[in-house]
Amino acid sequence: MALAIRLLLRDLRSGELSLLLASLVIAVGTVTTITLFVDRLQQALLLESSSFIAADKVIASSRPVPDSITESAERLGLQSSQTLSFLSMAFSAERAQLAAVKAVDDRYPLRGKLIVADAPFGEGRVESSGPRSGEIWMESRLFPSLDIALGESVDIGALTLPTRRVLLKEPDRGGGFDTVAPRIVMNLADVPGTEIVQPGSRVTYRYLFAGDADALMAWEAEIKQDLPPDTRIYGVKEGAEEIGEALSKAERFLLLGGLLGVILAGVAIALAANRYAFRHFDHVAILKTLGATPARIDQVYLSIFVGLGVSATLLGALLGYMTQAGVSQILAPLLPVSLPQPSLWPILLGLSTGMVCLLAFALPPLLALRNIEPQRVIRRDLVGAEPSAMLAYGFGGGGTFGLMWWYSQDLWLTSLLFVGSLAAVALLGLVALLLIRSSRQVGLQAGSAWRLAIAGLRRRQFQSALQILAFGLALMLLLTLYLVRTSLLDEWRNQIPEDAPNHFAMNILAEERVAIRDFLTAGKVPVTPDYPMIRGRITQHNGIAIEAKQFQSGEERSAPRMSSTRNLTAIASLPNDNKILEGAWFGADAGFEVSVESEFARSNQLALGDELIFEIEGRPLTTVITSIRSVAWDNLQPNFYLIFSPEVLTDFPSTFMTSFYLQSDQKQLLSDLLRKFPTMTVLEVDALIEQIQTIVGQVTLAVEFMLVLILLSGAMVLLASIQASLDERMQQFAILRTLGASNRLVRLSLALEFAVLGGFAGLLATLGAEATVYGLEREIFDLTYTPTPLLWLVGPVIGAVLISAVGMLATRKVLDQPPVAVLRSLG
Amino acid sequence: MIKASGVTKKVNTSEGPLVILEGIDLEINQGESVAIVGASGSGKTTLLSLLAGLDSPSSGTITIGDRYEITQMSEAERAEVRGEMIGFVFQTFQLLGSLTALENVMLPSELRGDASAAKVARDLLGRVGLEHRTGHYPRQLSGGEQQRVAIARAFASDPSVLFADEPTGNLDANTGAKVIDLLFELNADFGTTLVLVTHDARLAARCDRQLLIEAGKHLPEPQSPARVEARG
Repeated sequence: MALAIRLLLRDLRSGELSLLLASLVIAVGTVTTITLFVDRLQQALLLESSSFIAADKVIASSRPVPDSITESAERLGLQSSQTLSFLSMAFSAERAQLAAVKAVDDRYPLRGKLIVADAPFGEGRVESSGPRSGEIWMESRLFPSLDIALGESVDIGALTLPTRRVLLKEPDRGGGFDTVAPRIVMNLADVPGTEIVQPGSRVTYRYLFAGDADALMAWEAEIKQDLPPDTRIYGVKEGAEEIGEALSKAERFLLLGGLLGVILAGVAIALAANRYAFRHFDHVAILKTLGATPARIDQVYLSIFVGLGVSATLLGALLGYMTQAGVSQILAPLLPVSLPQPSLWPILLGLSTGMVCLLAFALPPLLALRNIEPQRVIRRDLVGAEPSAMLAYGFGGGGTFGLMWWYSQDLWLTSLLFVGSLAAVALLGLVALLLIRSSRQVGLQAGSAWRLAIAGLRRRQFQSALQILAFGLALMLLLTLYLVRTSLLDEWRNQIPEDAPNHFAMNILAEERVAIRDFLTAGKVPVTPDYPMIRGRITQHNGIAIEAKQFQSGEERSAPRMSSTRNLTAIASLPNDNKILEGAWFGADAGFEVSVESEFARSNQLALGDELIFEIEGRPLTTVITSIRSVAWDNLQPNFYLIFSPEVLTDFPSTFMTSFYLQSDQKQLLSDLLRKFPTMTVLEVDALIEQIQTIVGQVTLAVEFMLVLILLSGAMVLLASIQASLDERMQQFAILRTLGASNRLVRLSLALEFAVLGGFAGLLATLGAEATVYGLEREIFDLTYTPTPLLWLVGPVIGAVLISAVGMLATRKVLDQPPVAVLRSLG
Repeated sequence: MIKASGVTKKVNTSEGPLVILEGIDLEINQGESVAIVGASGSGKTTLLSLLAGLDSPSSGTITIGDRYEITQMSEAERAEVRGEMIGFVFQTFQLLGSLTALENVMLPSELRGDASAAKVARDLLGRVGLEHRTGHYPRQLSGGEQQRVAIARAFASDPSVLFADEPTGNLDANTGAKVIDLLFELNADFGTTLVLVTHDARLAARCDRQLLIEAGKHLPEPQSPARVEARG
C-alpha cells in the first residue's frame, strides 16, 4: 500500500498522471455541472411553466370528484385549489354578451399570477389571488361589448355583481381556442347565488394541485383508481402544449449533451489510461524481477486506481458544484426566474459517472499490466500477453452504454446514439486507414517537410488511423451537438416569429367579414385570410354510436376524446406547420372529406377510409377520413383536430375566424373594434407569446452553456490523443535533430503531420456528424433535417487548424529541449 | 545451488521454429561466481533469463537453491522465489525513473513487507558511496552512479544468487572497472552466488568459472587461460 501511495504521489508530481486526472476531473465536473444546472433550471422552468396551468397537476371533470382525492393531497402536504368554469350570458343595462365564467376559490392560483388593471386595456399589475365574494373581474374587451365602465354592475344568472378589476391575464388561460368567449372571474362562494349551475349543466370542475414532485407522484399513484372514468389529469407538459414541446426538446438536448459529454470523457480517460499503462510496462517488469507477483501488481495498481478515482471524482464534483454555482450567479440577472437550490442527486450522478468511467475505460489497461513479462527488463520488445481485447472493449462498451442509459433514462435515445457511434467508429476507422494509405501519392511528390510528415503518418499507419478516429469522433460529437443546437434554436425562433399574429378574432358573422377586414386594414394592421369555424361533435364512427364506445378507465386519460364537442373548420390549403402523415390533402374535386390530427386518430383508433358522422347545429354530416396529419401545437396558431374539405360547411351557418398582429401601442384600436362589432370575440395572446419567449430564452441559455462545457471535454480528448502519441514522435524528432535537421524543419513537418491528421479527422467528423444529425433530428427531435454543405469545407479546415494548434502547443516545450534530454527522458 | 538439465528454448518465428538453446546441462555451486560468455546471439542472455526464472524453457528442468524447481512453477510462484533469493543487475540499470535513488533501493524490501526497508537502503547506498545522492532521481545521476544504485538495490533483499546481465555494457572502461570492484566486493561480503553475462574478457576473468555458449549449446569446459589464471 505504501508503495502504491508513493508511486501514485510520485506520478502525480512528475505529471505522469496529469492527463488522466484532468480527464477524470473534467468528466465528473462536466456531468455534475450539467446535471446540477439543468436540474435547477428544470425546477425553475417547471415552476415557471406550471403557471400555464396555475398548478403542477390538474384534474378536470364534468362532475365533482370524490373527496378522497383532495383529502389524499392534503395528507401528502400538497396545496390544492378549485375552479368551476361554465358559459353564461352576462347582461348590462343595454347589452348582453356570452361570457366564459370562471369561479375560483381563495387559494387560486397555486402557480403563476393574475395580472389586473384599473381600466380596460390599461397598465397591468399583479394580484396574488382572485376576486373576493361579492365582486367580479372582467376581461378588457367585455367592457366595450357590454358598454359599461369599471365599477358598474353586471348580471350573471340571478346575481348582480359589481366589476372591481379589469382582468388582463390569468395564468391558466392558455392559448387554447376552446374558451373563445371573453372571461369573467368570480368567487366560488357566489356560484350558488347565480342559480346557474344545476344538475345536468355543462360545467367543468378543475382541481388544482401543487407541491413537491415526489409527493405529487405518490399522490397521483394513490388516487389513480378513484378517478371517475370521464376525468382528465394533466401536468404542465400535457396541459400547456405551447411550451410542452419546447421543454421536452430542450430536455432531450441537454440530455444529449450530457451523454456526449460522458462519451467524450470516456474516450479521454481511455486514451490517458492507456498511455499511463504503456509508460508503466517497464515499471511492472522491474517490480516483477524484484519479486512482485501478478497479484501484487494488481494490488499496487488497483490502489493507485482507487486513490486516483476517489480524489479525481471528489475534485470533479466540487469543481462541478462551484462551476454551476458561479454560472448561476453570473446568469442570475439574465434569468427572469430565481433558480431553486439544486437537489443532491446530480452530485451523486457526477460521482458515479467518475467511478464508472474509470472502471470502464481505465481498469482494463491497468489490469493488463499484470501480464507484462518480467523478461522485458532484458528484451524491451516484449510486452507480454496483450490486454484481452474482448475484456477492454466489453468493459468500455458496457460501461458507456450503462452510463448513457442511466443518465438519459431513455433506452431508445441511448441505443440510437450507441449503435450509431459504434457503426461510425468501424466505418470511420476503415476510411481513416484508406486515407493514410492514399497519402503516399502526396508524400512522394512534396518537399522535405511534407515527406517527413507523410512518412511519419504512414510508418505508424495503424496508430495514425486510431488517432484520426479519436480526433474525428471528438470533432464529430462536437459538430453534432452544434448542428442540433442550431436547428433547435432556429426552430424556436421560427415557432413564434417576431410579427406572428398575436390576436385572434372569432365569431365573425358572415355579413361582417368584409367590414372587419377593412377596419383593420385601415388601421394598418396586417390580417390573415379568414376561414369558417363551427362547433360540432362526432356521433358515429364506422356506423357505431360514440356513446357505445367506452373509455378504458385510467388509460389515455389525457388523450383527446372523440365524444367532445370541438371547433371544426373547412380549409382549402393545408395550414402552416401541419404535415400529412397518411393519405392526401383535399384535391380540387374533394367530396365530403375530413382530415384528422394524428394523436386524435391514434387515441380514438381512427384510420384512413373510416366513416365519421358529425352532428353540427342539430344536423348530421357524413364524411370520410382521407388524411391523417401532424400539428405543431406549439405554434400559437389556431389548430384543429378535425378539418373538413372546403365545400363541406357551405350549408352550415358558420362564423369566421381570422388573426392579426397588433403592436402594444395599438390596443386602443382593439377597443374600437369591439365596440363597433360587439358580437365578435378577440383572443389576446400577446402576453402568452411574451411568456413563451422568456422561457425559450432561458432554455436557449442553458443549451449554449452546455455547448461550452462539452467543447471543454472535447478539447480534453484532443489533448489526450496527442499526448498518447507524443513519446514516439519525440523520439523520432530527437533523432532527426541529432542528425542535423533544423528546428524549423522538425516543427514544420510536425505541424504538417498534425494538420493532415486533423484534416482527415475533420472530414470523417463531417461525414459522421451529418449522418448522426440526420438520425437525431428525424428520430429524436422531430425537426426537419437540412444538410450543411459548407460543413464539408469547414469541418476539415477546423480539424486541421485545431489539431495542429493543440498539437504544437502540447509539444512546444519538448521541442525546445536539446535532443539528448528528450532521448534520455524517454529511456 | 543452481542446476539445469536438458534445458532447451525454442521460439516460433515466421520462418518456422528457431532453437535458441539446446540441451544445456550445468551446475553452479553456492558462493561460486560464473561468467556466461559467447558471441552476440549465441543465447547467453536467454540462458540467464531462464536460470533466473524470468522465462520458462521449452523443455528441461532448472532448480534453484536445491529446493525450487522453477520450471514447474507458475509466474506468481517464480516471482516469490525471485523476491526471496534472487538479485539482478542489468546493462540498462532498470531503475524506476519516478522513484529516488533511496526509494529504488527500498523497493525489494518493501515488496517483502520489510519494515526496516529505509534503513537497509540507506546503509547500502552508503556502501556504494552514494549516501549524498539518496534523494536524486535516476535522470539526475550519471551512468556509473545509476549502476551503483542498481547494485545496492540488488543486494537489498540479501539474495542468495545475483544475476548480472552485461553490468558494464553501458559504462566506460574506468567506471566499469570501479562498478565491477564494487560488485565483487559486495558479493564477497554477502556470500552471494554470482552469475553474469558479459562480453568483457577482464570481467569474465574475475569469475571462478566461465561457461561458453555457442549457437545455443554449452561447449564442454573451455580451458581458457582466464580460468587457469583464476584458479592459479
